Amino acid sequence: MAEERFQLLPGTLELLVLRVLLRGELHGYEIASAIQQRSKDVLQIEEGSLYPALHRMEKRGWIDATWGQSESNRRAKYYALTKKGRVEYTAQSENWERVSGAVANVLRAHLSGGAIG
Amino acid sequence: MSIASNLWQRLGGAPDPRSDREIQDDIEAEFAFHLEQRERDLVARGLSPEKAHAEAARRFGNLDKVRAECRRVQLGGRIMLQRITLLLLVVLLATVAWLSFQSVNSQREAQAEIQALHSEVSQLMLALEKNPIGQSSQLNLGLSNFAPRILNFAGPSGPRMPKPGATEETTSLDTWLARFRENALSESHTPETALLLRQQCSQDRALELLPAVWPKLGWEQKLCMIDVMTDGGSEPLARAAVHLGATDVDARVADHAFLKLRELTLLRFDAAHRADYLAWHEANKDIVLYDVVEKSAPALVKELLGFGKWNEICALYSPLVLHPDMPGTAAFPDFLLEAGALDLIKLWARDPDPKARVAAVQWLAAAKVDEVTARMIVLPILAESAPRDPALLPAVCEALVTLDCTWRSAPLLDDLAKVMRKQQPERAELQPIAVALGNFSDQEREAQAEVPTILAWICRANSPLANEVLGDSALLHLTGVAFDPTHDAAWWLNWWSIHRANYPNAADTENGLPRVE
Repeated sequence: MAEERFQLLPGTLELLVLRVLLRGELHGYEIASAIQQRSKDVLQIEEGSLYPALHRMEKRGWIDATWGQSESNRRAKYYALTKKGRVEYTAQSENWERVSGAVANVLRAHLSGGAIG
Repeated sequence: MSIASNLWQRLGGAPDPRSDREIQDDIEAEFAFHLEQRERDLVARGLSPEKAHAEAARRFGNLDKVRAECRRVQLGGRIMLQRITLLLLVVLLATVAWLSFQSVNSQREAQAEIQALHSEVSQLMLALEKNPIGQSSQLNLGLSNFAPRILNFAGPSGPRMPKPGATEETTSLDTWLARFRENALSESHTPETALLLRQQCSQDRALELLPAVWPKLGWEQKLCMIDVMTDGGSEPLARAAVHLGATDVDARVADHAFLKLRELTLLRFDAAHRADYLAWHEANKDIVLYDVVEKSAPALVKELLGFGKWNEICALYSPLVLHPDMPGTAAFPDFLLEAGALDLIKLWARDPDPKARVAAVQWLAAAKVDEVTARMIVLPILAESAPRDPALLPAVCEALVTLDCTWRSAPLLDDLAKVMRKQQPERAELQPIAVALGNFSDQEREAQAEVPTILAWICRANSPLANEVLGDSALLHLTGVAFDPTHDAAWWLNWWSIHRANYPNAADTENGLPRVE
């Protein structure tokens, strides 16, 4: 059976980027690869869509961007989490936990025949 | 998030030092690096370079769309800033244009004001040359001076402040006397120094200087001083000058002062009864003259109604209209009417003396009677065939204009018809009517309704006399056309054909002029 892939929920890409950047400075390609690998190829992102998100986050001050040398000795743009970005990550991840937990609770109750209304 | 920080973020936060070109180049470089890395990765996994290239492009998605989105994120704030700057620039330019327009308008208005003031000053200078202030008609209160007139009385309000730069507060008495001598008042009656005292000294200083100067003045200078102080001075100054005059040993000065006192207060004292005056003065020191007038006027009018001779009544009654600044000025005509002025007017209107009828018309305006009453009084006076006083028509004209009578031109046009129907109209009869009609040009009216009738008479008569008198005295003022001896009936008909749209169509005739035969 072919492996099924899912589109990201709106707003989750930024949370994933923040999470990936917790481990350190990365360029766009590494960020895209890291998200795919960590989701075990379940989450499918159109790689190009990553860049507008990165630029927006840079404008908001969540991440810093600097040009540097890649492993292949090419000029690449590296992104790093800022202090503001860490605070944002904490807030967004807590929010995600609450929402996904609530959704899971509802689904469990429904599957076990409990009242939902 | 506060509105300010939200706006700051929308504008792109801190300004990006890179140019638009550099930003675009960075975006392209970042995409190229990504695609290249992906291709290398795929080739390493065994794909051919061509397939790896195609797969990398597929995974990246719509390159143009992503590029545009990144550009919008990077340059959006800058574009918004540019738009705001442009908007501010437009607003600024509009403001500058508006202010310039206002400035030009203000300048134009100021210039017009200055021109009007220049013209006013020129007229005043001309009037002063013709009629020097010192030669006051009030010195000789003959019958011709009974016309209602405005006494320029400054009112009982506080002291006059010295004008900027005036040093008269510290000017010594000797200096003042020297000024009086320099002006040679005894020869020319020029009241310049008296005016200086009145206008440039504070009231307190003037009140102090006046009694000090008084004993050193000649009798003519004293008359002059009384005139100047009562005609434009403050109430305390006027009263001080009159009191000094009334108590003066010189009978000429005292008579003049009592005459002034009668004008100001309606009280009839004279030098023979000075003790009565002094008693009244002592008892009424603290009462302003206007209050005296208000108290004494009704009783006086009642008394005057018993007089048989109009000229005596008129002489005594005329001061009533010399007080336009009396408290309750607006109600003054009502007060006059209540005091019985209308009875006097009706009395004079029937008087056989032509001067009495002139006085009746003059008082109509002063008492501000209503239009209907004015019509009832004016029309019979004008209809009489008795010889007219030369002052009658100007008085009628002034009264009708003052009362703003809608029918004002009708009696004068009837009068004109009467004269023009004669075989040989006389200049002496025609001239006053033409002048009176010309006076109506001062009024702001939509159209000069008299014009077509006057033109009709010119066309009918076409005589040099009618052409000249009606053209020069009436039409010049009503139409603005300067008189020229060549302006005969044909010329005016031609003028009428051009300008008739500006005037009411007086009659349904061939040329639009009324039938006057």
